[in-house]
Amino acid sequence: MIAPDVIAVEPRATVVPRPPRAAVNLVLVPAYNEEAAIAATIAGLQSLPDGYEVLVVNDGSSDRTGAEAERAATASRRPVRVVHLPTNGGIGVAVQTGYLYALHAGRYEYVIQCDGDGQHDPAFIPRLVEECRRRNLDLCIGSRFLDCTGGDRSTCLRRVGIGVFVRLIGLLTGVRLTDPTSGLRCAGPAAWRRFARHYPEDYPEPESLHWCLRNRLAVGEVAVRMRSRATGVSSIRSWRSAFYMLKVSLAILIDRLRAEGQ
Amino acid sequence: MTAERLMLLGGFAAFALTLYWVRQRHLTERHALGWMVVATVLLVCGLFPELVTRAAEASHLSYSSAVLFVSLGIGYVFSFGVTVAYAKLNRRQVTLLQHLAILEQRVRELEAGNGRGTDP
Repeated sequence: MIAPDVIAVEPRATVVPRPPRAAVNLVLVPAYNEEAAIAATIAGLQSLPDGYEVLVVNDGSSDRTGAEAERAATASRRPVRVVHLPTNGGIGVAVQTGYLYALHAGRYEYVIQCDGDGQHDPAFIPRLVEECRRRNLDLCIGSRFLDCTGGDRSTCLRRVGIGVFVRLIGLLTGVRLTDPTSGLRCAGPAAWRRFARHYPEDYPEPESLHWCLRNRLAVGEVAVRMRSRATGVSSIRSWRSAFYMLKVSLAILIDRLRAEGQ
Repeated sequence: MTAERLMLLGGFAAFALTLYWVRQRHLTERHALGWMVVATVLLVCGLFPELVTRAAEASHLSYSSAVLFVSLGIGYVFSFGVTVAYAKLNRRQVTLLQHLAILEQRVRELEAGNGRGTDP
């Protein structure tokens, strides 16, 4: 059964301190060896309305991603900051660095993850935030499969893998989402404050999503359109796909065994 | 050379190596304790070979199987310990790198004095 436009589980039980009145939202852009795409990604984020700041996390890139991001940040009329990790730690480490940054800053309300490869259309970012506010969601995922909105829907093999995660998470939590691996997502304070403390290091999206559902955080989806990757290569490819499936499935099953809140 | 003599020799060598590395401060006493236990087991087995024979008889194993089983057990425990320690160290290293990167960004921004607002 395909989920309706937005799925929400029970409202959260815990009360999370709200940020100060002048709260803004942070668009978090993890980037690893994206020298050809990062400047265009940052340029695309200029179209966002006021109230959004951008943080690029250069995940120890071996190419000129860091320099290109700095150059684009200097030219930007919107606040864009770049954090350089000294070594490559993986997508989870890069994203968690962004959540840690937001935690230290203490002035952000929503943190929106948007990949640095240009696959995500920034036009959907305000909609994700809007849905979080409207439905009081803690995590809103941009789904490629919710509606037939066109755009890139990944390869056949990957869709099979995504289907496995959909069923596994559905079986364990009773909530059926359509795109658990999507890297375009908006996290509210209850979710991202936890992610700043604990976040999976590699292939983090399905596992962190399962954590949210297991801890009865409100999770929803919004239909988005994704572009094909223009340059670079995905971190999940060839023989790694099998390892990815196994590792993430095991991580989700073990997460199920943990106590609430852990 | 018999298995007993080999174990005796191995026990002495393990003791000597452990003491050498601790003396050089390349190995801490805390981590050396486990290796001291291994060296002691080897020495005791070398000095009193009948202990292994009795243990093998009690567990209905042959002598060689008992020695292999104990060796694999020790190897497993130590390897597992090393893996756990590696995972902990890796997590600590990641946390340090993340904080370093955030602080470095703040320093750069303060040095630049670009007045783009307050950062963490």
